[in-house]
Amino acid sequence: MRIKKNNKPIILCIIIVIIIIILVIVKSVSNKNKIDYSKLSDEELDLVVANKIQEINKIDLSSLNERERMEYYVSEFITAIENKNYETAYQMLYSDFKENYFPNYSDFEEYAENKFPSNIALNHTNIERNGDVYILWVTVANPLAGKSSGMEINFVIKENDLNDFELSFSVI
Amino acid sequence: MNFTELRIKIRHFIKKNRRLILIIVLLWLIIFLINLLLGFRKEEPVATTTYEPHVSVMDSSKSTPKSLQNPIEEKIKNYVDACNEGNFEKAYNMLSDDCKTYSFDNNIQNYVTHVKVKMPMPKKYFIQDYSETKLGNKSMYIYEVRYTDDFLATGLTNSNYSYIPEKFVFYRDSDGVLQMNIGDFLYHEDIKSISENEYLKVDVADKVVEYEIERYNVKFTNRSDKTIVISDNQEADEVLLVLPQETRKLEGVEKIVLKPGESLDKELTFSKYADDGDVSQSILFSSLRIMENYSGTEDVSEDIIKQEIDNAIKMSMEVKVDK
Repeated sequence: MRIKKNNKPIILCIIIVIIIIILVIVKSVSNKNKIDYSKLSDEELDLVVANKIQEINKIDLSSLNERERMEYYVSEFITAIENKNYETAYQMLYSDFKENYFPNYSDFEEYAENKFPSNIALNHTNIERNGDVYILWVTVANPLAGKSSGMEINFVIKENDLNDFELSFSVI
Repeated sequence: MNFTELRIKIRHFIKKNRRLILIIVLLWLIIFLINLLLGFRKEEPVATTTYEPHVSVMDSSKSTPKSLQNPIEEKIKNYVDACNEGNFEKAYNMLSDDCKTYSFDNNIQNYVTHVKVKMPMPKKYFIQDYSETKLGNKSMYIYEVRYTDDFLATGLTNSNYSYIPEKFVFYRDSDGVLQMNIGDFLYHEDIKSISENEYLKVDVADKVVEYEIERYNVKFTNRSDKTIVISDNQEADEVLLVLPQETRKLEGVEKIVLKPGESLDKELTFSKYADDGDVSQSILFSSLRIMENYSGTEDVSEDIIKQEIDNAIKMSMEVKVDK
């Protein structure tokens, strides 16, 4: 199809307008992703930082296979206990498991305080997948107390999303 | 060539190829913009998993058609939920008519007994496409359902990791309705194949195919006035299921001995995986003996047994079971 000579300026104008529109869209999308940290309150800033950390964690975890991820989740739980962040560890527990064995936070706190050593070394011996539930066999030991200090614990984990999981363990 | 000439040449070239240059610039611009926009898109990281419930474990290149995946999941969920709620009638009515007939003898009590073995108490479950097999043109999708305790709720406290497996089979019937079999049952097939001679008539009426076995209903008729021994463990491989490349021994049945003129119905069971790709060809009775005298095999000396076998008329018989 030949373009008539007198239509050429109009077509050129249309193309320029389309380009300008696309540039405006690109600009607005790029601005949307930018956060002006100076305008945020301390609480908002904390939230943004926490979200960023979560994002980075997710990206890191996405590069791991499922076994490595499950082992990471167990280590997150154990690290929380080791650091005496019992509330954080308690929040990781599956709700029905909590109801069955630790209906109150204080029950769990007391249990974790008494049963887990202050320094913990983990040895993952086996893993099985049952649909979307993973069962891990883990030896939890105090590295300072020698091999005999180890106790065999099963961890059961359900991963809802990357870094979003619920777990339970065999209560001793 | 001086600068003016070069300028004129470039101007001339641009003028001559104006349209082409415009198109190239436009294309580049569009690609640049698309690339820019894609750059702003956030790729959501996803959790990789090896759990693919609808990909066959026996052949990972095969999977259940998309159109069947949700109906199958839904059917299993409704079935297990009904069992967990103790609504056995509802669960029983979800089974195909053949499954009710050949697995449970159309008796709901038999079914309830089966469920109590598989699920003695409310269970969690998960599913896995196991394999696919064909009955004629009909595709049958075999799933393994594993019943487990609620591991997450117990953390395996004071218990060990275990599960109870059961094969479920799904297929569309001639009306396109999705049918479900449980208890490893796949299908029933009429055989109606007869082999006979002056001594013996062997009538294979039908077969029931389960995941790991094939059961044949066979009627033996002794037409002679002599005892006929089909199987009494005195000869090797007395009854065999013949497959294209191999044979399978009879399982479970100790003796098949027919008195003169006697008719006997027997269920012959052979070990055979339904998804091994082989089609059963025939049942071979390789050591039939028409006995002059038969004293049995219990509390009878080896010499007498051997002598009676030596005096017997020996033959073999093969009944086709491949339709």
